[in-house]
Amino acid sequence: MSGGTLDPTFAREDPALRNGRVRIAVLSALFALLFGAIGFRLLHLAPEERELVTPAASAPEPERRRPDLLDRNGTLLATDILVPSLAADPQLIADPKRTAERLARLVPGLDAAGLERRLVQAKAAGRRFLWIDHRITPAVQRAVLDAGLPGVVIRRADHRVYPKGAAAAHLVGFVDIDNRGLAGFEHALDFGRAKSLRSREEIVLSLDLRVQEVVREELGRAFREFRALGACGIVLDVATGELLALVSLPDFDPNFAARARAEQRKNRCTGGSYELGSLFKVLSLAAALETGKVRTHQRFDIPPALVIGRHRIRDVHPARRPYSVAEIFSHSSNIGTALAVFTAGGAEPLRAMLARVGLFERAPIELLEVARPQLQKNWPDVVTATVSFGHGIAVSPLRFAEAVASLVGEGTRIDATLLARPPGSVATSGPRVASPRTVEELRWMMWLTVAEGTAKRAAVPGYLVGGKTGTADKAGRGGYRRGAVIASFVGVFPVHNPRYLVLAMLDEPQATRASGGTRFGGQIAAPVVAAIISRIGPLLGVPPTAPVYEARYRERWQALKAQAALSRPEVHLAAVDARP
Amino acid sequence: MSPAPAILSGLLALVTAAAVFQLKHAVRERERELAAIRQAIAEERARIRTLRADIAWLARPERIAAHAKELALEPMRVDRLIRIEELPDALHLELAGRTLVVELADGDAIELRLKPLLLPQAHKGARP
Repeated sequence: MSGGTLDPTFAREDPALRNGRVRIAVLSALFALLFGAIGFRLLHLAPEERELVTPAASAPEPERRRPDLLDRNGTLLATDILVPSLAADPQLIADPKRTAERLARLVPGLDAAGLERRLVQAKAAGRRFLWIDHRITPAVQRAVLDAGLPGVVIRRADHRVYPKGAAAAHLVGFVDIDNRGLAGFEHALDFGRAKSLRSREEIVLSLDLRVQEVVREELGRAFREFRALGACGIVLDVATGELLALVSLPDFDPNFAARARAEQRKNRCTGGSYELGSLFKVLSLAAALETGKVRTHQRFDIPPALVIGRHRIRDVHPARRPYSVAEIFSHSSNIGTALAVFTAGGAEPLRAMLARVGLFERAPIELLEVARPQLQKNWPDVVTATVSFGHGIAVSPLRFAEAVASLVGEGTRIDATLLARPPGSVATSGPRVASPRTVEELRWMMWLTVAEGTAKRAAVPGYLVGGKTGTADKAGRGGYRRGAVIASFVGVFPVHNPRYLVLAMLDEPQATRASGGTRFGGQIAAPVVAAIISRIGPLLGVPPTAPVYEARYRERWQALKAQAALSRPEVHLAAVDARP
Repeated sequence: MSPAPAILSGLLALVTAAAVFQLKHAVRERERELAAIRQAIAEERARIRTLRADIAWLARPERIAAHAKELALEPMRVDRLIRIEELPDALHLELAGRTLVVELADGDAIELRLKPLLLPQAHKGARP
């Protein structure tokens, strides 16, 4: 170490001393680090205000709000609004007795003794939250706040409201006190097919409130006029499968659902199964035509009664001449329908058709109260015959409407939906249920029924309407009941290229002068459908039907009549296997 | 060993601590502001929802129907709709605006107005 710039003392320093200094330096650095860390941690731990407040007072946002429900035009059908409720933190209440007494004086209908007991119990159990009263009025809220009771808090919670009241009660449904769906779409939103939509802000339903209200008004008029037990009205978009209206009567106000009777809550359109009677001829004659073995102009001898085994089938209006298939349809002959079905091959083609249009399954609509069709296991001839005119098989009106829409629309399977499709979209390309030829024949026969048959009262000026009437005897204990019927009508318009289907059904209507003293679907339900169509057609922007289409249909009808005058019936009873 | 580095690091620690505290405080202030704004937004939203429900309630069909007369509302009728084929031709409409000046034999001039012509066969285009 010669002549260096280093401190001579350092060079000369004892190595032990040097070691000691290094250790001290290292240690102090370590301590500095440690204290620094502790200091920072302390800063981090500085208490936040919200931790100083009681859990009850800092009302956390209610978990997940239910989506608003809108109709297809954006009208609000269901929404959540914040409504104050009264709660307490029992741990902060020093004197439960006094608090309970003072509250009971401020809140109407509150029992002081009961509240005191609940407060004491909750306090003992160490709970920090207790509901006192749900949904208080603003006046009560102010009174409670003014009283300044420690431990008593106002907590606002979502409360579901239905601004349109009873207008769409069965479709929209309602919720329980905890905002969980109990019926209708609300139910499906929590527990059914619409579950995946639960997290949305809003859901646009296929429903059109204007149409819904028209149906409700017109159906309600008939429901009261004929003093029916119940009624169902449906409007279905044939092109897209969207349900525009669904009315079940009697109905109720979903805002006060708890007060409604079971009778009112029942959704007759989806949750009830009915033997729809002659309406079914749409399906059975479509099945017969689809086989190609039966044609609309083909004529049948109609005997006064058709005997199959022990059973005897009759017509309400006995035919006095041979009927073509088109007339069997338009005059609604039970015997003729059964004969046509047997000519086409009996049970097999009929079953196949019913299966194709979905009558053996539940409707896949976004509701939970959907009835499964009720049908027989085995189909001997007599069952085939009765099913062909709608007895011995019970389906929901909605399921039936879907089946008819499938057949007279594009001839492809249509399942109704409650959710609005994007505008301009056409129904999914469902499996084909009938050939275009059958579809065309069916439309024509439905027109004939309105023009010349049992449904003359369904005619609407401006629109070409087609349809089918139904008057079904109601089954009771030990057979069919006299005088108790289901009167119904299913109509489509404009029938040459159907856009909308309208169905009306009345359960046990009473004959009045307005129905000509009868209970026929053509007298009771057909006028309802006509009134609905004449009001919703312009509303939905359906242009009036050009007269050329009616002229064409009428031409065809004249041709068939001319042909009938010249020829003899082509099919005789002898040709039918069903003969006893 | 000189005390300088120790003092320096001590000061540094103090300054840092103070800065961090300041920052924390500012953040908390901002957070409080944010919470207040969020609260206000939530309040407004709740009010909007209530008002929307109110509007929907006031516009319920039976109430509108009851006021239909004073509002001069009436049901739509199908005879108010017209098919496109029933409209007069564009040519007719165009000519309808013009006037035709005709000079008569005695020297007077009169203006003739063209009227749109409605074809008797209104729906000739309907047949595909």
